[in-house]
Amino acid sequence: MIISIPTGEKIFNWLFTMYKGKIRFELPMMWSLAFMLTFVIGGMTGVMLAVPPADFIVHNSLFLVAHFHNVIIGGVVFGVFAGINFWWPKAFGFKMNQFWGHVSFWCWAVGFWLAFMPLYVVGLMGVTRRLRVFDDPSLQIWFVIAALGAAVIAFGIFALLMQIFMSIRDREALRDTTGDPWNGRTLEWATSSPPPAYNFAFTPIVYDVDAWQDMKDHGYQRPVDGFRPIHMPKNTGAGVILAGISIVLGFALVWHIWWLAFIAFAALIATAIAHTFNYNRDYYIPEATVTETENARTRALSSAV
Amino acid sequence: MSSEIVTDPGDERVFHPVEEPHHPEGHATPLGFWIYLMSDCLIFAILFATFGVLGHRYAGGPGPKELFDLPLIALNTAMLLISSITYGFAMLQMHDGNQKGTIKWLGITACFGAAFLCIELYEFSHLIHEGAGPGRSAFLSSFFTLVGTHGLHVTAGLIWLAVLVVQVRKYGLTLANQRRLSCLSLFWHFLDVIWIGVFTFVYLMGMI
Repeated sequence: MIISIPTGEKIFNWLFTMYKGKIRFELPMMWSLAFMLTFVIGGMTGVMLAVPPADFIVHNSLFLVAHFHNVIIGGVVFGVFAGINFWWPKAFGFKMNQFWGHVSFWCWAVGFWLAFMPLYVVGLMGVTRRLRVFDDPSLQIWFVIAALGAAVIAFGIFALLMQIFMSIRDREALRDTTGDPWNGRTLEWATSSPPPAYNFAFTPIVYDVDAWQDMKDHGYQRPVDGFRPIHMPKNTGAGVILAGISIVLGFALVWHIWWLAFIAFAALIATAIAHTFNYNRDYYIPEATVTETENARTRALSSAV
Repeated sequence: MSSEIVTDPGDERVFHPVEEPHHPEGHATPLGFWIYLMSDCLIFAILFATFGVLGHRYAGGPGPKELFDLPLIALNTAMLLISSITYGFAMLQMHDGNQKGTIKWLGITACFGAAFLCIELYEFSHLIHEGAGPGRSAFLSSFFTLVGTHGLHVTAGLIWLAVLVVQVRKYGLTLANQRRLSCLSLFWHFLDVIWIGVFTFVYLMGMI
């Protein structure tokens, strides 16, 4: 219940965000809707599992398996796919292939229900998970349906890989020079795709929740001159190195390799201390580089029109 | 910018500030460090709560009255409290820009901190030799976890202090080093406050 109540609140956030909005059924929106619908069902079966008498019956059953796939696939995977489809053009500068995207979406959406709804049914009838053989042949049909669903999902995964492959192959045709392929409302769409290291040559002033839409409504003109050097933090590998050593430490602790754990722990502390001897942590992107980058964007924008 | 938030499409808009906002290096460090300290505070809150629940479960073993040597703990407490005062002196020297004085008082602080740790380790080994190790009872498990976690923090503080002494000697009392000394100051005083909680709730109230 600690999970389901705040999550239920989030669902209302998203619903009221869409309320009275102009919904466009593009792939990110479709994935988002599939995510919300699926996640609500998964959340409700989660509430059922939070009721002790019900949990006593379905604990460790295929009902539980169906529940957590319902929330992980519906809650995480669909949401991640929505995000990939939405921000891919921002990250790489070209849109994704729409045909394979739609194939992937429908295979996943249909395949998910085919694969996991039978598991709810047999789970409610008391089938425990991780069984190798089933004594009751009347259960066969449910597993056949679930296997069919798994095959549909497998094709959905294939279609997703195809979508990524075709997008990269046809990247020149799918190229977006505007930086705003969705006619978006929030600030990330105000920059080029992919954005420069400094994001914004001049810091935008935010007047509205949908800042970029507000800027467009007020006739925003992108500044094309008068650029200045930009203060930036330097890159450092320290975080990644510390994370790598932490993995070694965790592995050694899990498998009781004490000598390795000791070395990894000492290395962790030593690396962290060594990093503090690096005082030179910021730099300026010179004005010439900013001007060059922004001029390239000006040319790209004018050639697109 | 202190512009009012307005949404009428006819309104004038200033899209970019005339002067770019300036973020001096390290301006967010105090906030970040306070957030860290408060999260550390949560760890100790949990350990205190655990001790509150398990502190009277002796499993037929020895209780605080048989185990704790209050004069020794009082001495231990004095070591840590004095180390906080001497750290304060180091900070005063730092504000005066006196590098030598800062390092001297940091060294004195480290001595008192190390003395605290030695007494604590002596106490721990004494308890374990008496058969009152962390495995003896729920009381002793929660005792060793709470006091030991505090001791680990002091150890980390000592290592940090040693590193800062090296850095101050090498680079002087630069702004970055002053910021680091201030963070360690917060950390050191924080450990003092936690110890006062330990001394009160674990040792003094255990003797009642």
